[in-house]
This record gives sequence, structure tokens and C-alpha cells, in this order.
Amino acid sequence: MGSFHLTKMSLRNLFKKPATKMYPVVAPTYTSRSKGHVTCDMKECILCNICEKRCPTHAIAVNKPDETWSIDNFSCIQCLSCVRACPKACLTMEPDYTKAAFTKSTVTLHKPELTPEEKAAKEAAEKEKAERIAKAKAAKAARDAAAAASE
Amino acid sequence: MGKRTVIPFGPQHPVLPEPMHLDLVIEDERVIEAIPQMGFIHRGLEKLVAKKDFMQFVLVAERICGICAFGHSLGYSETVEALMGIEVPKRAEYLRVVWHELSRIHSHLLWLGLLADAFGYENLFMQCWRLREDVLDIFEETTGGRVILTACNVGGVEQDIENSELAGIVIRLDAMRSEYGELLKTFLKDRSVKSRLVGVGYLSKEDAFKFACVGPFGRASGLEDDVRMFGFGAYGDLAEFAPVVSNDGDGYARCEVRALEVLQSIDIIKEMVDKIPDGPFNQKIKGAPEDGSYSSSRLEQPRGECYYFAKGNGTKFLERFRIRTPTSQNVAGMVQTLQGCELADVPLNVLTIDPCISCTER
Amino acid sequence: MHNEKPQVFIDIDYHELSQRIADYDERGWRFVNICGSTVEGGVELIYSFSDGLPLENLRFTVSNEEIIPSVSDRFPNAFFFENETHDLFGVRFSGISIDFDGEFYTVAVPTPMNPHSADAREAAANNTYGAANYGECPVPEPAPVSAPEPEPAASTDTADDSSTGEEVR
Repeated sequence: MGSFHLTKMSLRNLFKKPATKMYPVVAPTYTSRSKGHVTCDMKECILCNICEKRCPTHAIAVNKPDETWSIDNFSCIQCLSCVRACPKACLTMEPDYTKAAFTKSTVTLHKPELTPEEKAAKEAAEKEKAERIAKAKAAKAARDAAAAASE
Repeated sequence: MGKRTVIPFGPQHPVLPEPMHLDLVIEDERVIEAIPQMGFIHRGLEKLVAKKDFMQFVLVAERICGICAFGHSLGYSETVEALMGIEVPKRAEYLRVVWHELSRIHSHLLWLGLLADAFGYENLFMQCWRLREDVLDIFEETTGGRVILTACNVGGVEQDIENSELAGIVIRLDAMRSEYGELLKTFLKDRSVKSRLVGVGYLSKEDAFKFACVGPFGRASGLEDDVRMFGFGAYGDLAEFAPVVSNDGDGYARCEVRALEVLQSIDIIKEMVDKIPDGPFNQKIKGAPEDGSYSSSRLEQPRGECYYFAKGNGTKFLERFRIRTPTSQNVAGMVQTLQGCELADVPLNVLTIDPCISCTER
Repeated sequence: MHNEKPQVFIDIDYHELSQRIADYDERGWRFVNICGSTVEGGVELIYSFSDGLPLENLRFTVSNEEIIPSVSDRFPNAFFFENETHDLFGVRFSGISIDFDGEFYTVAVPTPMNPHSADAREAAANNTYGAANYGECPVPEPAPVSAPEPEPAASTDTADDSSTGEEVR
């Protein structure tokens, strides 16, 4: 019984630094698992569209012809469904969250331009593939002609 | 006989965490009758089972309420697992209990703060919430979210907590005990607090049984009712569990029951961390609930017994999912305690059922 | 030990309901929940009762026109669930202790979970969805606009406006 049971705690708190932080002047401390916003490593992204299908709020939009991947950070509910579903593991959840703004905005990422070596390698691979297909088609045509001639 | 007036209470009120309306018929500062009205936060979330498949719906179930967020995702997962006959790995069950008990600690600390605010002791309110921040920090470190955790899913839990991290959590909770002890002393022994709580909103054991009160509200009136006693999930591996019960039935008893449950939860977490087995924390789910399958499950949320019901129809969308929250059971008991109380005690009586209207109305 | 096994769902005939309710009340069981679910031709209701560990669910189907006696005389806290089932599914109960008569949840469309209930069909036939939305607060009608006259006749126009009966302060 009695009163003023909180005196000890109040006096102690008088001489301790405050439990709150002057956010946003002071940066918040994030943990390694903090959920902020999702970002994509465009070099690895194959624009397969799985993240768009898994997103429960339809925040992600993938445009294969334009080679862009965009996300509406204000719609994202940080559920990590896309991060877990990505087959190339190119999506990551960054800890810092989207700041408040007056209008909603979308973040669009483009696939990076290929370097000259990568372009040459890609063209060489495509040329080789075309030659292989042409050779196989010629061989098949020769086989069909031979079969027709023998009948 | 004095003149009777009708005073509206709510839906906006500083003491209420969520909107609720009461029409109080009063006569000379004494409440004769209270007529409740709900529906301010009905969002029709149960209809979303038709739009989100059963694996995605756990995200919706979580966002029904901010205070009991993990509890609803856990109850949903358990119900769908019972529907499809899935066995969850043991480690996942233990981790779920750890998070659920942490959720109970944070919910009770929140409620204690609101109670202190309800009778005007703002300093105590601030201290309770400052202590609660430690628990929210634990949530952020283990799951990434402070309030909405996204930790539980059908088949297990989303991520693991390392054993070293678990040991760290137990150390931090033990460190909280000394500060929490000071708050407990204030709640239970301070003269001004006692004068506002003792004898206020009395509900006898017979009435509590008649109105089927659940949770700490019922346990404060002497009903020994706690779903954790039945040993579902990892609760069955506890060495012993006895619910915290008081026989006084007034506001002080309800405060005491909830305050002591925090200490009980810390002990449960410690025991779980000691006994946790190694192994997988998740398993892949294949298929969908069968057509014509039914299941129900119960969970002891911080506010009481929560009942879940699921019905499958062969597709990946559930046919029906229902949550019956403890607050909807306790509303009738609350209306009973309001009869005959003073007008100044109305906010206190409303708060002692720990109203979580957003999960009641979904 | 995992969750409750087995799940007890008892299929009953609707007419046995009052007998079963009285039986549970006498045995001292606690009322847990009423859950509705739309099925072909009506609503499937599940009443749940519990006595500590045992939990039994009674399952039966009613048509959209049936009127069910309320259980709130024996189990006072059932009024919440009966009002909710009435508002969302259109199931009619007679004798609820606190009856909100459809105003428990303010829903935009009557009986949103059951589009074939009697209330929903009636509202669709009369096209009264708007009225269900606004209740007693009528949408004000715009004041009639008179044809503009070439010479300034402001005094005649204001006289017309005030004669419609709407007082503008």
C-alpha cells in the first residue's frame, strides 16, 4: 500500500537519455531482417513475370518488350512473397522504408545495356544456333528426299 | 425518481483502442442500461477468401487487427492445416508458441498502459509502452516487422530463429523483469490505482458463466478456462500449465490476472527455448482443400478463446472462413457490468474486457 | 499433441435444433459460435458448443425464407452472432434479445455474403441499393434551374429558388 511507487523509476528516467529518437533527423536503426522496400538486380532478372503473379496487391509490373521491372512502393505490403518466389533470387528486401510523400509513385528499373564483349558473345551464340538449326533442317530435307526417291 | 438521459459513448473516445458505440441510459450519474452498437470497422474481410487463395489469405488474416496480428495468422494456419491434414514440423510449433507468447506480452503491456490512461495515470501509461518497445524490438529482429509480423504460414513458419538468438531473447526478457516488477507494484499496490479499480464493474461467477465470458475477463471472475490447458500444438510439451485465476471479479482482479499472465508468458518462452528441437521449420504444401471438408480450431489469444472455422470446396480458394473473436463473446458480459455503475467508471468497464473491435467485426 | 482431433461435426435436422439447445443448456455447456455459409438454395448454419476440451459443431441447412427461433434467451451472448448472421446472410431470427433489425453492420449491399437471400432479391427487384446505403439521410435534390433570361432578372431567379421550399442560411 502507499503512493508514488513510480518515484524511483521517474527519477532514474530523469537522468537517462530519452527512449525515443528524433526521427527523421536521426536515422533509425534497422535490423538485418527489417522490411522496407523491394528492389531488383536487373542484371540477373529474366523478366519471367512470376513476381508479378505472386504479388497479392499487384504492386509489381513487368514489361517484357520494354525490358522494365517496376514496383509501386506504396502498394507493397512487405510480405516477401516475390522475394521467395523469384527463380533467379534477384529480388531483395532493403531495410529502409519508403518515405512519406504527397503523391504515390512507381519505381521503374530497366535492364542494363550490354557491354560490347557481351553483345559480341550474344551475337556469336545466336549465329551458331541459327547455323545449327539450318544444318539440321538441311539434313532432314535430304533424308525426306531420299525416302521419297526410294519409294 | 430522477430524470433519465441518454448519453452516447463513442465511437470516438480516447480510451477505446477501436471504435465502438454505446448508448448509456443514465439517471443522476448512474448507468441504468447500456445498449451497444458495432459496425464502424466492418470491412468484409471474410469475403476475401473468394479472391485470395488459401496460401495468400494468411496475409489478410494477419492484417485484421494490429494487436492480435500473429494470433490470427496462427489460428488461420492451424485451421487450414487441420482441414488438409498437414503435420507441422516440431520446431515450427515451438517457434509459433514463442512468437505467440511474445504477442501476448506485448498485448497485455499495451492494455495495462491503456488502463492507466483510462484512470488518468499518464506516466504509468508511458512507462508500460516504453517497456513494450523492447518486445517490439524483438519482433523486428526476428521477423522484420514490429506489428504485422508475416511469420506464420500454412505448413510452418516463414523463417527460423537461431538457437543463439533465442537465448538472447530469453536474456532480454529476464532483464525486463525488474522494471516490469516496479510497474506491477504500482498497478497492484498503489493507493490511487486501487481506489479506481477495486469493486468497479463486478461480475459474479454465475453471471460470467451465463454470459459465457472468455479470457482474462472470465478468469478474473473465477472461471478456469484457458485453451492452453488443453495442450494443442507445442503447449502440450509444457511441464505444467495452470491458468491465472482470481475470484474477485472486479476491475482490480482483471488487472491482476493480465499483469501476472505477462510473467507466466516469460516463463513459458523460457521453457520453450530450453526444449526446442532442431529440424525443419517449414514444409511445402501441395494440393488444395478437398471438397466438402470442414475444420475448426481454437486458440488462446491475449483476449480469450478465439474459434476459427474453415470449409473447403476443392479449389485453391476456401469456401468459407470464419473467425469468432473473444471480444464478441465478452460484449454481453460488458453490458452486464455497466448496469448500475457510475458514469465516470464507464470507460474503465469498457476497457476491462480488452475490446478489440477490429477483429470482432473484420 | 496437435490440434483437436477428431473435429466433431454433427449433422442434424433443423427441427431438432431447439431440443439440442435445451440439452446443451441443461448440461452446462458454453455457447461458442454461429457460422453461416451460403449453399445452393439457402444457408448452412453451424452452431458450436463447448464444455472445456470437448467442442461440438451442429450443422444444418435452412432455406432463405425460414425463420429460426433465437437462442439468446438461454445463451444471452448469442445476440451478437444472430444479428451478424442476419445482416450478412439474410437468415431471419425471431426473438433476439437485442435486435438491431438489420442495422448491426452498415453494409452497402444487403446481405453481401448471400446474394440469393430474400432481402437481397427484394432490394434488387426494387433497385433500392442506394436507399440501403444512406438510410434516413436523403440525398438532397438539386434546385430546379430556370432558363437564363437575356436582361438581368436576378430578383425573379432568387424568388423562384426560395419558393421551392429549401431554406438556405
